[in-house]
Amino acid sequence: MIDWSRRKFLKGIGGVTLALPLFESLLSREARAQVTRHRFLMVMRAGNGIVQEGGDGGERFWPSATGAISAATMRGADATRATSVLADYAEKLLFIKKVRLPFARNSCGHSEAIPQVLTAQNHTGGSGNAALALGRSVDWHLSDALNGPGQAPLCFMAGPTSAYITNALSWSGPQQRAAADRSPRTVFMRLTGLSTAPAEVQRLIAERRKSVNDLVRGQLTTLKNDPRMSTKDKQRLDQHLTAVRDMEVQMTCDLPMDQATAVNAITAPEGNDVRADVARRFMDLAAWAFNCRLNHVATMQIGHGNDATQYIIDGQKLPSFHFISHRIYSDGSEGEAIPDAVDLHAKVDKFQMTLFKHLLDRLSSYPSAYGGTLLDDSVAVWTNDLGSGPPHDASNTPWVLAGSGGGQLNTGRVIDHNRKNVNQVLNTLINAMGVRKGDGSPVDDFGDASLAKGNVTGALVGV
Amino acid sequence: MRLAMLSALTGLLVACEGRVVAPGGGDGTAAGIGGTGAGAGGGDEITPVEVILPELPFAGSRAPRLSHVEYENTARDLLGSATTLGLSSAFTPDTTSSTFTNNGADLVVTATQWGDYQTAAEELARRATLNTAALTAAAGGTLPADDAALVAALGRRAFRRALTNEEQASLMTLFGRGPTYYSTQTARLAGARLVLEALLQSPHFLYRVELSSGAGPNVSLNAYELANRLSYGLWQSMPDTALLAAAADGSLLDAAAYSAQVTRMLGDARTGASIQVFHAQLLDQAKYADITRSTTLFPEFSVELRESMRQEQVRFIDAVAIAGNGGIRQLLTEKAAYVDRRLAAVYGLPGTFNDTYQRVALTDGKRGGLLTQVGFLALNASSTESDPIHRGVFVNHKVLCAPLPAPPNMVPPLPRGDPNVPKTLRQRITEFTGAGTCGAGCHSTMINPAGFAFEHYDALGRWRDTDNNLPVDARDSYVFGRERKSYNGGVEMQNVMAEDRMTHDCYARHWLEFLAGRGYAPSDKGLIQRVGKSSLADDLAVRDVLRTLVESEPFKTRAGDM
Repeated sequence: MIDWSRRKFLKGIGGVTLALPLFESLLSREARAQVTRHRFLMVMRAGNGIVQEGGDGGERFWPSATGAISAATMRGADATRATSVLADYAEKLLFIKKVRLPFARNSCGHSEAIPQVLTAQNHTGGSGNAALALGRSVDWHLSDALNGPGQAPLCFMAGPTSAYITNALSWSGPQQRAAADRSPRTVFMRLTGLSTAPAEVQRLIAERRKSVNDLVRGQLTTLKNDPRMSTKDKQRLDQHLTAVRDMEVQMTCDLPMDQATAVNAITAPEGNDVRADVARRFMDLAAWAFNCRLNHVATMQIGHGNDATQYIIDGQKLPSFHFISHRIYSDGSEGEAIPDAVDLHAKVDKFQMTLFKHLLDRLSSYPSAYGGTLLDDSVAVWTNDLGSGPPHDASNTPWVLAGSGGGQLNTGRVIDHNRKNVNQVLNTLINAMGVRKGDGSPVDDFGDASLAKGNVTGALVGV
Repeated sequence: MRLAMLSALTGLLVACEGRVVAPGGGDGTAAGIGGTGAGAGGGDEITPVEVILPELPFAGSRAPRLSHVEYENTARDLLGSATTLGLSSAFTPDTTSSTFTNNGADLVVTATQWGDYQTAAEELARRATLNTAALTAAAGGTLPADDAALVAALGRRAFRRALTNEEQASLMTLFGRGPTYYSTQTARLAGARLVLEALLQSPHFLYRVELSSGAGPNVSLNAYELANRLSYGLWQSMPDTALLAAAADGSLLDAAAYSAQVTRMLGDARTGASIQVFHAQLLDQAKYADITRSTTLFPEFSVELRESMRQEQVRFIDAVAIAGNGGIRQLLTEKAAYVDRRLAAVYGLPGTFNDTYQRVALTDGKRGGLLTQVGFLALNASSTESDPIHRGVFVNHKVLCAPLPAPPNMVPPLPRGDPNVPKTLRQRITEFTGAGTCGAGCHSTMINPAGFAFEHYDALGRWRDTDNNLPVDARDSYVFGRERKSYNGGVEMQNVMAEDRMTHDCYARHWLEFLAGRGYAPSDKGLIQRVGKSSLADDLAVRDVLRTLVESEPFKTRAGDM
């Protein structure tokens, strides 16, 4: 059993010009914070709202009742709802309905909504990319605690580089938009330090290093066990030995070959037709990075602010999702009607849930160091910065959570947040990651200070 | 009389955080219980007899890790390169608890460092096997025809000792696998490359392992261990071919042969480089890069001046201690500066200067020795004012090895004082920390007297006669061991220190730490006492100090397993 708590993982340092691909040289020099248990958070964001109660298409997303849910009801009475896709994980799900983004959206419903989602902060206002969050987002806040200060959370975007509203989910500080990676291949290369060397070359490198390490480990062990060594010398040699072991784990902590191949296959990640595939690859990488303790926090934005992706579902390429959400072939208020727009929107919702399920599948494919799977140590989140298609409201945004952060969340239920503010959801996520205030009490004050403090009622175990 | 004097002194110093010691008395050498200083009171004083302390074997780690400087030098010498390769510049900087960065018992291998070592080892192995010539250099200048002999030669140089049979066998197995991983190279180069990768990541390369043991109080090191101590002490690097040969045939254990090796090594440029590294770390030279001053208040300041400060010190040490073969006495008293146009402006030197450094004799009595150089003075100053407290602390710690206790946790800022009553900085500090204040114990007896001597030098190190339009007072006195000595200004104080055992003992102590690659231990007192005494009495050059230390019995032994 690896003693994970002693591991130090690193991010890229750059500037090392050596001939071979080097895993370790790209690892960060920041020591991860000392934590008693490793927990992980990934937040996925979609745009344009969902088809739910309060919109123009009735309730087609959530289970029919609040309270406990089961796989049976999700597959039975609620089989038509988008969330039924997640039935396999019923007991690990926590649905939070009607979460309000608290600050006004006077210029653009999209532009001024996304910055609030993970910050619970007001914004500078403005349409397009002008609206900037006035505070740090929860992924950065948690990265400090879970990765250690200085290491950034993973920040992905399945979408184009430039857009009317580009990436706006993650904020490293007030008005500091976090850069989002668009290319899974680039992320993979950076996290591993791999060059473009063929897989066979990389395999040989790993094998060669293992040969060397086998020898070194034996020598270290012999020295450490030499009775002439002082206690302090033994401790230092033991630390060295641990470092070698840790690096061996790192070397063998490979992304499964089929996933690596899929990551490598995407050479133009910003294109419309690969959008869902890019999202899946980012999920693969996040789960793998969590498993290897390369990072503990990730976010992913799917599509730009008013997501205009033409999703390809069951072989059919749909109109722009933003058009669908407006129910017309237009980004504005005038245009030719899309006759089956509500159905198409519900179809996209269901497709989004299949994407989210991919993340749950990936997290479940890795065993936990504490028993169960990596999903049990994590909280995976899917959210949308709007409530419904029309009227693009933001007082009933959906939050779909899975995993319990190692038993921190009361899962297997639907909670109606009753249009209370998003800051309480973010407090809940922070607490679910095992982070508490200095006095040990639950965190209740993330986000703008004017917002009512607290957590989502009934979401946290023992709170 | 002597009793009365000691009683008064003790009473004074009790206030210094409760310690009952004389300034130099922490380690029991000259300035302490065995001190030689004459009583200050005159009259019927009794000349104390210095108690000769035993010279005890070295204690400490059996596996100190190479410092980054040592790693870099070793890599250079292992590959037969004329210059260092710079691989350690990417390493995470080490932090040690003592003055020097080569305190091996403090140095550890973290996951980060291990990654750095792995990276560097692979690169070094690649370079060493680029072609036959490179491999020949790595093998020590002669390329064995036999593969096993090649592996043995590489191993002997990397481990700085002969390989065991088991190690040889393991490495031969790796040698055979080399072509699998480096198929574009010849089998021999590929095998050697993989072997070198393993050697350079081995604890026997990364640590200076000493396993000699025995029951007696003194255990002699074996010849290879002794060679390593000597080469890492004098050169901060691996033994060269001649030294390894002397270890291999055991001749190094003969005192005369050992001395011959010492003589040879002291004359090598690598010893000169070590002398520079020693002083650079002792004088905090790396911090010069952080010195900043307002160019409005100090128009002579520029970013380039930082390097000029460092260059002056390097050239001064080279001229005085390396090329000039001087010692601590000369380092504190030599009346010469090595200046370019930037430093000349700070020093106010007449004449024309350019970017080339030139030696200037200092004849006006205002400067001389290491401690009136701009580097020391500007480093130990605030952005606007001189800093007698930090200058004083530096002198106490680094020049005199006086046992200053740690400062209190909450040090209040120095009050600005009444603007209508002009005062010098010295006056303000004295009011705040002098006799009768809570800081009196340490400040008025140890820190302030040492720092005030440099009050003629402002925040950039420029000479001044006034401070806040009042005359500068740089007169003071300091109790060296048991003798109070007076001086007026930094030049005089350095002259005084140059003639005092406390300084020579301290210098010997620093060198002992540096040569041994470890922190000071109380068991070092006896050796320090002898070397310090000789340094003062015999006007030892730095190289003489080094010779005395490395030829001592403690250096050649380690404490037994009693």
